[in-house]
Amino acid sequence: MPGTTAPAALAAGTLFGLALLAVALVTGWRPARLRAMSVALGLGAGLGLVVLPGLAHGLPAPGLGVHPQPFLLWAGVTVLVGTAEEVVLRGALFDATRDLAGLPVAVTVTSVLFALLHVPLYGWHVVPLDLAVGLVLAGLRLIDRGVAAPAIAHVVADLATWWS
Amino acid sequence: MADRRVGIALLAAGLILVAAAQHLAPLPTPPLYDGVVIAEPYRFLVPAAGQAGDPGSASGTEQLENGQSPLTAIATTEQPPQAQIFAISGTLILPPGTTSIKLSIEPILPAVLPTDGHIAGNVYRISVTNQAGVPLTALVSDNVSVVLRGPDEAASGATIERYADGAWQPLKSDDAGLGVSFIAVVTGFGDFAVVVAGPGGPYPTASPEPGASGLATPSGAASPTAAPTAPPISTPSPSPTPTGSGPFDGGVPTPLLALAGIALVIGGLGGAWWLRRRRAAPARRPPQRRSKRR
Repeated sequence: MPGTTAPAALAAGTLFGLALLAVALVTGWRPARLRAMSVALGLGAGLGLVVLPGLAHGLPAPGLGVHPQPFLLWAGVTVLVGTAEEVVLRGALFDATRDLAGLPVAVTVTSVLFALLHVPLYGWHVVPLDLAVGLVLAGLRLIDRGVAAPAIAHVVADLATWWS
Repeated sequence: MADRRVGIALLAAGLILVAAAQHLAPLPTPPLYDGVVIAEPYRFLVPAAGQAGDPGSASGTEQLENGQSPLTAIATTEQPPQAQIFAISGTLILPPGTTSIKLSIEPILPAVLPTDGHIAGNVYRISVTNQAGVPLTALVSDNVSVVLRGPDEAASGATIERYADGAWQPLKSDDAGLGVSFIAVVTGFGDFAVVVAGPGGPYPTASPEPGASGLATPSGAASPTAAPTAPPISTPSPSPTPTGSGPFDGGVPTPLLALAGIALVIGGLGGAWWLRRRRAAPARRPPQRRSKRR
């Protein structure tokens, strides 16, 4: 969520995250108990998403903008937005699409939407990479049978950019 | 169990594709970034009233690694940076006798203006040479990239152009997203600018006489009355191509994003409500017919 002031950017991110969670709750999604395996899986995959692109090509990420201080507030909003996206995409939408049209369609639809969500901020050239990331997160969803692992992986990758 | 197997396959395939995507078409931006970012207003070398000035520059020296160019990334100091270079290890072609690489990025006034549009923002002189000042080059297949950020007027589309052999030449440019940025693969360095199609207002150019600069009107520029925001041409204070510096400068317009977000939420809520109703609707039995007795 871009903005020209820290409060505006943080507010926009918070509203967006809360709106996504509201959508998920309306569909009947409810959070499940967090399991240690989910955390381990999510952390491992998240670190993979951070390290692997760098190993594959070695490009560092440029400065993406002013990081609004303090860190904890920025991190909180980042956790909210990343988690909310997973709850909607790999949670409510994945389940609903799978019920209606089967697993391949669910993976495809959620991965494509995930990639498209990043176009306004990054441009169309991120679609191939984010499609691949969508597959990773869909895989985590199936292995974990819940959204905890993909949400943790997503959040780890987002938080890592603070130090880029 | 079947889900887990499919999940593992997807996870593995996805990670391989992530590596492949980043190897074949590397991005200077991370794949995921959904947090909060602030794009500071664009900084002009010659700002008009209401515009930010004092754009940043960058410089550095890189030592060779195993006789090859190292991973190279340098950016100006704005957030997001207004000019950046990216080159992975071994992709810069080193002239004989190279022992180190000198890099610099600085905003400059152009000597000549493009004829296929007008410059949006600053012109940046990007220099990549060896210790003796010999310019380095790269193969197009190695994806050495220049990323330039433009001011708000470039949000509708622009091209990175490079000044070479006495003329501005457009490069194949892609939208790099955040902060109205564009990326182009380069095989050499020099002066680069974001160029928007169509005429623009007066733009300051470098004068051959030291200490003076002049205003040049881009080729094909409309009359001043066609650009109501263009300040009158006057010396000795040249003005850059006028651009807005309102609340949308430096990023996707916030109201547009807000509308898109609201539409997404409404669509999501509507779809979710419809799905719930569909799941909750009981299976309907056909009505039982009573036989008529006569």
